[in-house]
Amino acid sequence: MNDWIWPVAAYLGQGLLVTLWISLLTVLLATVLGLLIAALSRSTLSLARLIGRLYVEVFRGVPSLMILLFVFFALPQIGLRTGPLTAAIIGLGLWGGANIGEVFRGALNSIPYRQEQGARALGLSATEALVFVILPQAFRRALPPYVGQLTVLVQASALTSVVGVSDLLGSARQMIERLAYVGAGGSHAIEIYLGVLSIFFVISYSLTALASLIERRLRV
Amino acid sequence: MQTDLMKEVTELLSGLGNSLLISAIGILLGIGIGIVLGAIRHARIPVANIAIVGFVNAFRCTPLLVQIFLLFYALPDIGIRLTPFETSWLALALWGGAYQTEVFRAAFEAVPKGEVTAARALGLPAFQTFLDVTLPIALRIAITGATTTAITQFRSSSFMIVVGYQELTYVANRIVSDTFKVFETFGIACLMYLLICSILSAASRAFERRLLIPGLGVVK
Repeated sequence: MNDWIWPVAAYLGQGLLVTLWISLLTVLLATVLGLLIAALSRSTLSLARLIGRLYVEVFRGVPSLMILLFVFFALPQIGLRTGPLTAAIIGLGLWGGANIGEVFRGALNSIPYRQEQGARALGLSATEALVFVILPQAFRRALPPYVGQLTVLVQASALTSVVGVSDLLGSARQMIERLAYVGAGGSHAIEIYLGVLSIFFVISYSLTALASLIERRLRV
Repeated sequence: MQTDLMKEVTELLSGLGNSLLISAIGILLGIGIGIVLGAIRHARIPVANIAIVGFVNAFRCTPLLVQIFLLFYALPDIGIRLTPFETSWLALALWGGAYQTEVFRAAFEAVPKGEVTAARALGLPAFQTFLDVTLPIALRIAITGATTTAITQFRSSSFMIVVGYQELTYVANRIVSDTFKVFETFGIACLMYLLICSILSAASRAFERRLLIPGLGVVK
């Protein structure tokens, strides 16, 4: 009687794989950008600090979907023909980079200046002080909010369906249209969307739990 | 050429007006939900507490975009038909409400215990202590966090493009599809979002200073 469930579940499974792939690539891009932004904020050049600041302000003040659409339409105009998937990953990565950059910057700035002073007074060079004293402490501070940002990026991956990527949400929409078309006892939209919500819930809730576990474990 | 751009800016402004409208309703309802549910969480009312934790987790751990799809495309299956406008403010209110509940719960917890003890010692009944002592202090503590959520709600109003509500991102996207003026149109739309976000955060800082209680360490 419920013979529509298995084909739909298999299709959604493919969508889930796309969602996880997008999330992974977005996280990688955003992390690299985030490190770059945090490095800019520690630069001795005021121009570099300004660029970092401006990037964060602009990309955090504009909706993620707007950035995604901007990249999606702008890339072909500057002669780069990419599919919606690549455009979506670049757009989300640019946006996530600003958020993750703020996390890293905040963690670095939260380390008291006397830590650096103390390290320098003990004879460590500026680089050594950064690598052996500042970064290990900043890493502990950054990890819980960083994992929190991963949750945000996984949830944001659903936006890619707006530009036609067959991620979890995108494939759910396609299946609902198909089911309504073949008339398999209604559209089953409620069951399918609740299923999609549950999958996102499991991923996000586990990541959130992981973040608080890390926070407890890493407390200095 | 010049008049063309003026026409587009006018259209974008009307889109911005619609964005502001749904955001205003969503933000106010979200704050209302947050204060009430946050207070119930603070009061630790047995069954209600668990229900609220469930509500908060359900909305925070799933993407807003999927929630919008469920509200708009799945609820008609059980006879609930929402217009794009109703879906837009309702989705923002519920999603923001979940975040605001946590903001206000934390604010209630952060009210200095001494203030409450003093009020009770002076003979104020429990409920009046809550209204006259806990609430005014907690609302001040919550300003920064509530503004962050409100700004996120405003930016997320762009997601309503998927239900066809004529907000700023929808209008910008339509203009780009018609004219291919990607950079001007999206650029202006981004500036509009940035401007509103800066106004909101500046207003919140001014508000916080105005409401400062001398001697109570509420504002850093």
